[in-house]
Amino acid sequence: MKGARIKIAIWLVVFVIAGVILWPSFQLYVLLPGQERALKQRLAQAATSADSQAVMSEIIEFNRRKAGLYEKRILHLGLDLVGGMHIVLDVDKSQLTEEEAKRAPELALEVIRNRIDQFGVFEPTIQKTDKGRILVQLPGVDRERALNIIKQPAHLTFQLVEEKAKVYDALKTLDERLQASGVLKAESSQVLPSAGAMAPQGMDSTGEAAPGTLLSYLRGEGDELDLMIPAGDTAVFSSLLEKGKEFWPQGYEFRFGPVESEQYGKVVRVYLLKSEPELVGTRLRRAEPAIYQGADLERANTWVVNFELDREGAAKFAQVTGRNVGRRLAIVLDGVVRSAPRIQERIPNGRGQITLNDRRGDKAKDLSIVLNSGALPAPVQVVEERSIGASLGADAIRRGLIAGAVGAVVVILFMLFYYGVGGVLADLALFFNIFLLLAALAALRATLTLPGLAGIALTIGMAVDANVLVFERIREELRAGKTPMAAVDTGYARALVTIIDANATTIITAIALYFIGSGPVRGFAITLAVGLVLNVLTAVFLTRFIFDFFLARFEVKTLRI
Amino acid sequence: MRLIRYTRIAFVSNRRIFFVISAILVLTSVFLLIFKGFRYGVDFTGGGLVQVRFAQPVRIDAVRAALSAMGEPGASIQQTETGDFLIRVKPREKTTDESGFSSRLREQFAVSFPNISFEVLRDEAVGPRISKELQSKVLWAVVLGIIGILIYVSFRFDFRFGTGAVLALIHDTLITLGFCSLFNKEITTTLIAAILTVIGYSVNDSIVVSDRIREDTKKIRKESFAEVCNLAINRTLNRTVITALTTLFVTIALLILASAEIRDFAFALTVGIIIGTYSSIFIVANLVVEWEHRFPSRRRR
Repeated sequence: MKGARIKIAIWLVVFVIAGVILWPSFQLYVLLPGQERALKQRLAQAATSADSQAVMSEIIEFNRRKAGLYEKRILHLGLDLVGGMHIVLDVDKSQLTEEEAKRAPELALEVIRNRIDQFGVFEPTIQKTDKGRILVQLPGVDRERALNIIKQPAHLTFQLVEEKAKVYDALKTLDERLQASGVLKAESSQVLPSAGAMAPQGMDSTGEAAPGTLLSYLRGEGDELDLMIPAGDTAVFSSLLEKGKEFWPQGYEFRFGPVESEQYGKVVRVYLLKSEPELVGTRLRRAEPAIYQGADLERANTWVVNFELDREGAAKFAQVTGRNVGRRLAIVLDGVVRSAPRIQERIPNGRGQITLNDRRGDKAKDLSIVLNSGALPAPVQVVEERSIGASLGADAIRRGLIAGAVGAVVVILFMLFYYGVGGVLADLALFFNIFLLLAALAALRATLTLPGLAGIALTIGMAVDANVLVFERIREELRAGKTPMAAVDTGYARALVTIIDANATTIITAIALYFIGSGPVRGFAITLAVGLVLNVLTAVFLTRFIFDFFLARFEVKTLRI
Repeated sequence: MRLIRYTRIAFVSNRRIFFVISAILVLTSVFLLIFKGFRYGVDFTGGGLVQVRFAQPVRIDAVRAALSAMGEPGASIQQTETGDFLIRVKPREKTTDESGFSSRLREQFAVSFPNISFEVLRDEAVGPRISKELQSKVLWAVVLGIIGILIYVSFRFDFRFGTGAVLALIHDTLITLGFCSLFNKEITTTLIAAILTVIGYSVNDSIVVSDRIREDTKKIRKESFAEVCNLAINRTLNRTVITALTTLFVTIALLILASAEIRDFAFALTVGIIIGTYSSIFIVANLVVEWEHRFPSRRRR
């Protein structure tokens, strides 16, 4: 047969290329998991520290190899299969100027990428999507921590704190103003015989504050009122404050501290700060987590974040602290007063500390990451989320593979049973088809999703269609009395038009599906489209060639398919 | 071996029967679509869905109580066959951040079920703007897909066959949607993908029959158009049935064995392929014959 060698050579080359493309994926998903388990087992069984040291270095080597594989063209598994977080973020541009708004998504993306790089995630996807949104995909992370790291604006300011007496006066004035404007019912304090009956728990019944007023929320007794309110009342308290905003002392703002456990239960502190920050900490030289080493016993064994301002910031800091010795300076992170230490002396080196209520070290580590990566240009909001737990993904992948395998085996057996020799050919084409499909997906760096797996299963069912069309046609021609050679010839010629017509329409729908754009459906569309194109190619060129080859070689007189 | 011997079934002369069957199916489906409608997934309605698995059995009342405690008494709770809880909330009117519901739910569950560990298997939250965009995207994809097919079909076939294939496509899609409504399937993007695949398959099947008719009308001159059509249906019957079978083997395997999300997808495919196969045997060519019968084209006697 003419050209047979060339054809064999071409198919062999295709096969080898596909194999080479798939090799890293095969290593990653088939070989490595077993090795990883073995290594972990050896680590667990290591008797001496020298042994475990040796295993540890092997594990480091192993992880390096694994990371190297991810650099290559591999078949990626979608989050719906491996589990992980998928969120789409919108940058809130309402507070930005037009110029800033234009650059905000780009800046936010950079900051988020920085943070996630430092957080340490295998294979993150961080990219801009339409309308300036940001897509973040993180396989296998702790959702709450990751959200916190991504969303935290990380605006650090240093603001001077007003003394207690002045805050007390400000609240009192506010109460009066609110009563005068009718927000607070002024008469309520007179109508009720005993304010104590309604007074929140912990409030002295002889206290001056009428129920419902701002002062009535403060904890403590008599003149010893502390500037703290019960954590549960924060929302009510701050909405009251908001309503009287026009009566706040000029150039000052109210802020809260984090929730703390005090003798009164869970409380938050209320601060009155100078609105104009003394220093804006966008320029940190570095921030790092550390164990608290100060004198406060409450804070023993908790984690803090030590930070150091850059040179310019440190100079400013020295100036501010030098000028305000004896006053309190609040460290405000994203509107929350983290701490408000009293300035003992001028601080020349620009070093400071953010205390946290963190005994495990997670928060301190995460906050350091966030501070080191800089502030977001504007708040970001999650507008879409599709996160999958790891075990659900594992379950989906296992059941999807079983279902696909069962379907494929039934199809293969059916074809063998129904078409005999032809069935062998069709099955061979099917195998080749799937092999090439996986290689094509790897080469395209496509992501295999759950619907994508279904798409592969579906192409298995439809892959045989082209061959069925051909075989039925050959059978007809044979029945009409043609020789095997001629029957195969006409069969293929006649079926070809139909095969192309039929697949073209499904490919058109696959293209339409691709533009719906959501991850899993897109995966389905890609596998379906690539699968169908390969279907046509293998059915028309591969099985045809094998058919011809054997018919010519063995001079087949009667063909039974 | 042969599944079907070379047949000469009178598909064409009995076409009225099939038209009646199809009409009943289509009308019932339209009725269902209008009066029963669909359950729409989070993708289209917006809102949130959280799937939680507890380490020990938990009563649904306890979950409801926990949700009430966090100020979400309106959340709908559904227990899956594996004992997971599917908790859905309606979209917020004023949303700032969609991840908030799940975060608050985790905190609340940790408080309400202090001794039972739980895992959140799935978090879906779609903001109102996103769900609107997705709706229009899906609509466009479906419309463009159908237009694409129409262009291809009208380019490759003459107008009658094109119309026949398109009518069959509408027929298949409506009935598949009717079944989805009847069995309370939730409309998600994945299900839409299945429906579009059914559309592709339906046209694919119609084309195989039409191709054969086109080929045979050129070759067989002495028989009437109706005869040629009938012969073509019979000749492609084997292929139509076998391709449907091999595809069904796979979709049914998915329907039985795959995880819940794929099962709805496989359901729509299975129904769609059965209906698509039925229509390409009994409806497509018959529509063309009926048309030819009423308005004979000039080329024929």
